[in-house]
Parts: sequence; C-alpha cells; structure tokens
Amino acid sequence: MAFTITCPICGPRSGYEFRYGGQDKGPRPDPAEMTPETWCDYVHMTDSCPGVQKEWWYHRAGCGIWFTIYRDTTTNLEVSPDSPEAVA
Amino acid sequence: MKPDNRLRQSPVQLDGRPHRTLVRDHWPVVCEYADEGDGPWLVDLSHCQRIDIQARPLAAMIPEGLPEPEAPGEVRIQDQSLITRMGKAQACLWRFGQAAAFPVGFNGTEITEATLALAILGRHTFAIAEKLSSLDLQAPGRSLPRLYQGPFAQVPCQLVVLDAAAGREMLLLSCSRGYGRDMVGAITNAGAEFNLRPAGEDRFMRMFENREKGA
Repeated sequence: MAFTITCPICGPRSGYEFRYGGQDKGPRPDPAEMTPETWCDYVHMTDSCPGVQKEWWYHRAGCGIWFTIYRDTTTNLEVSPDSPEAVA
Repeated sequence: MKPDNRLRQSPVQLDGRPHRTLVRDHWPVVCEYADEGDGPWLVDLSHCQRIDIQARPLAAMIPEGLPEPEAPGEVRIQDQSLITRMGKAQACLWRFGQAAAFPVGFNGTEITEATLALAILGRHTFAIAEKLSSLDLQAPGRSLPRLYQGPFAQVPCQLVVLDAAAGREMLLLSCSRGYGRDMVGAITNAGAEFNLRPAGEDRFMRMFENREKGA
C-alpha cells in the first residue's frame, strides 16, 4: 500500500522512504513515580484504535529526522494537526 | 623515515581512457578523458573535500567568509565551495578544484573518504535522473541551486541541482562509498541511450565556475 507522508524538511514524499516509529504516547512516565506496570504500559500498550492517531516517523531515505504526524489509520491519509479529529 | 606516498582511492572507476591526470592531496584526479563527446557526462568528484557540520546555531561553525544557507534545502556557492543545509543543525561543505583548504582547527567532520561524489552534467541529465529516482528534481517554483535528500537508484543520497537550464544542466550526487560501483553501474546503464560519457574534473570546473559567476 503506497501513501504519502509530509516530512517537515523535505516535504511530501513516498511512504516507502520512511520508517514507522509507533504511536506517540507523549512524555515518558516520571521516574520518581514509575512502577514496573506503568513502564510496561508505556512501552508495550498502544491504543490500536481505527481512526486518527499521532505517530512517529523516521525519514530514513532522506534527511534522517524523526517527526510526528496525524494519520487516519483507516484511510492512510494525513490529517492536519488542527483538524477536529486530531485534536480529539 | 620514508615519505608516505600512498594514494587515496576513489570508490569508482569510470569506463573511459584518461587523457590527463594529476595527484592532488594524495588523490589521483582525472582532469580529462579522451573522447568525452558532446554530453551528457558523468564526473567522479570523490576526491573533492566534503565536510559535515553539525551545530546549533549552525552559523557558529561555518568558516568565516562563507555564507550560511538559511533554511533546509538551500545551497550557497562561493569561492569554489558549496554549502548545503540539510536540517536545522546540519550542513555539508564541498570544496572543489584548487579552492583554499578550510581553516586549521575547523571543527567539521571530514567525510571525503567515506562517501562517493559524482556529477551528471549536460543535456539529458534530468532524463537520466528520472529513470533512477522518483524525486521531483525539476519542481517549478524552487530556486536553484537546491538540495534534495532522498533515494536515487534506491540509495539514500544527497542531490544538489546546480543548474537546470538547457545545455547547462548540473546534478551533484553524494552517497555512502560502499554503493559506488553499483551507483555508477546504474547511472551508466540509464545514460546509455543518451550516450552518457565519463568526463574529467576540468569539464565540471568550467561549468561550476560559470554557475558561480551567475549565482
């Protein structure tokens, strides 16, 4: 399946130039309050919900940066960060 | 102690008969090939000094007197040197021909030996590139010279479009040294129908100097 991802440095490129980095789950849990369970949840548990999610991508065949986009997993189309689906 | 006369070795050898050669900074350089033809041409520039700079702010690391490309993708040419901005905190300097060496103590990382550098010149340059990459190297509305970072012959490359005017086309390409033989093979095969021939550094320098005057 081919789709386009917009790199903040290089612009729109073929999805084949990128490596998926997983769902963006926000900042790491605070080490002072972290338990094995919270760390396990942070590392391994993902929402896996159909719809728009914020996720990490790596431009491995291009400029080599990590960045986040919002993508609708049911259509493979990027969604603007300002759209209602992304905000939700 | 005997002087060390060992020579550097380019990762590629072009299939042509060198007509004039010299040794510069321990690199053998082909200045001109016999029967270079009318173009397009493929030039091995692997001997040209290339330095990677990573700093924030980037301007603090660029040698004095050279301009700083302001945004990723921008390229500046000055004094037979070329500076490409690759990201917020990364740039690459290229030094061609007899350009003055970068200052002693300059804190960039020399990547000359680790990378391959080629130039495709002359008419049909972008027809050849189009056979090897899906990158939109001739996108209208983008000022030249311009840096593109992406796959060329399926290899992650830095590509600099120096000029796209008819007859003056110039495309620079750099990638990891290990891809050298296959990269030249792919370009040579793609350029066969356009009569792509190897050319020496002199032809590149003539075109680059003209480009610098017009930059």
